[in-house]
Amino acid sequence: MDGDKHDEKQKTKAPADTESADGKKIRIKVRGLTGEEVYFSMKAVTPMKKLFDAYCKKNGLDQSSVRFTLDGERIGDEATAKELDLQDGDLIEVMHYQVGGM
Amino acid sequence: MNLSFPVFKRTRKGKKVKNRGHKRSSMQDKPVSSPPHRTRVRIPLKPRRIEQQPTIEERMIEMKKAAAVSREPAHSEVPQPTVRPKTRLQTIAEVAGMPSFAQFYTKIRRLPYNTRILGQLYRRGLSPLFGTDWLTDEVINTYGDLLQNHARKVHGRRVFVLSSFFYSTLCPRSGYNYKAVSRWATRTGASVPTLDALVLPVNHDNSHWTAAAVCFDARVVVYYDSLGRRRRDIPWNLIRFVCAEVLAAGGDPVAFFKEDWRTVICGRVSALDPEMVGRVAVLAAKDRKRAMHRPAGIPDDADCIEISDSDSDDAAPPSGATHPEAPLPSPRPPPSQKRRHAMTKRLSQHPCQLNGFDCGVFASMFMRCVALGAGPAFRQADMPNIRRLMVVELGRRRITPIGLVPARSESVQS
Repeated sequence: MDGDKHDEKQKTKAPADTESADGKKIRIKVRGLTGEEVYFSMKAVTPMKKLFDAYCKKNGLDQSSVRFTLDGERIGDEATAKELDLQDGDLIEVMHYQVGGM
Repeated sequence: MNLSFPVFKRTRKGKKVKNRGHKRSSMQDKPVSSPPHRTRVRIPLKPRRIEQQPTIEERMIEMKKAAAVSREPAHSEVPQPTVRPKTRLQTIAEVAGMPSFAQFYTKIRRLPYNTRILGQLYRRGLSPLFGTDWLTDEVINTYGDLLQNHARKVHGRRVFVLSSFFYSTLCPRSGYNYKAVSRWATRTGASVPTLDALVLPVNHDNSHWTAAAVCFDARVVVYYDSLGRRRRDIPWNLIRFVCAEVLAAGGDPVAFFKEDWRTVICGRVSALDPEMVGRVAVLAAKDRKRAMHRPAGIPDDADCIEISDSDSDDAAPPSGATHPEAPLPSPRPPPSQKRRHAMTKRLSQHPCQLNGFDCGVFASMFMRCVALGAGPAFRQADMPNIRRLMVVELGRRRITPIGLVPARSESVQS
């Protein structure tokens, strides 16, 4: 129950164009390992690490076990939506880490 | 045993003396092991007899001749700057044996775990390369980026190295999903059929690494498995992907794959079945149609998780570790049929893995050879040195040119 309340606190209805003082907010779709989609709204100049942290915290994931990719390329922690040229509604895919040897 | 410090033994009187017997044995040990590739022995010239000593005039002539000879190669090199000098490249063992190499390797090994090596690869992600651990996607994908840049800048090849997630997204457990990767190829900056090679690592159920490539210049689809499992589905799924990309570029896939295309599956060369290509092309056309439907955007009333940027407690991002992608070089004329066949022959070498942990290294080396336009010429015996080489290359952020020994020599030596 507590978790639900916490989630509700975080969730806010984001209007289509949220204008703020130092940057426009964009909405990003994140598709998880099982195909479920979560929406995030963030400023275009905020480092993506914040989104990764929020996603991993929400889903109880270890950040070193997942990779966030945009069109097949891994996104760096310091990259921003502006640098990546992300548009409103763009999709970030979460991939599970891979290992092999045999 | 070749100890550098003197070993002492005590005499009956209790006096320390140097252990001569031990020292002698260490001296005897020394010259036994010499690597087989360094067998070139310089034979000393016979000393001239005194009565045959040349006169001063003869000496002058000889000196002039010698000077002319030493000047000659410089003259011959100048007018042909386009021809690559055919010097013998150092082998992996020679490169790994250099003191500067060992120094750099140790330096990287001793770095703190949170040091950034390249891109998203930190020192902690590099640890599987030290020892005999299984490789992770971080190492293989970062190495792929490095190879792509090197192949484009130094070799002038239009190479695109896909990440290891490509194949697992294209072919998840059930079926084939072109739509999921239809945007991935846009990162190339050019249409896929105009490339020289498309290289990708393939992960199998988090336990095995293999590699595949579509060489558009050699007209070959290669699949390489260091354990030698012949999977025909992987090259054909790649052909289906390329068919869809040919359609996207406005071409005809059947005509594209019509002439002289081959598959090399674990060293076995076979011609493409035109009937099969026709069937795959039909499927690819359907894939392409499905991919045209754009996914719906985020509805206006969707719940979004707000990410605040108020607490800027993070330190400034570490700088200097980014690796900008090299642009694609301009296309070159396609190679002749004879040259294509030679390339196919080179690609049909198949070095095998003889243990249960090196497949990631084998797959990366295959990617390296294909990206740089060579055949997979390495062997199990080189793997410890290749792991060290990969560490140094990732640390230096550049590929060291090495001459790979042909794979055939393994069967001769072992």
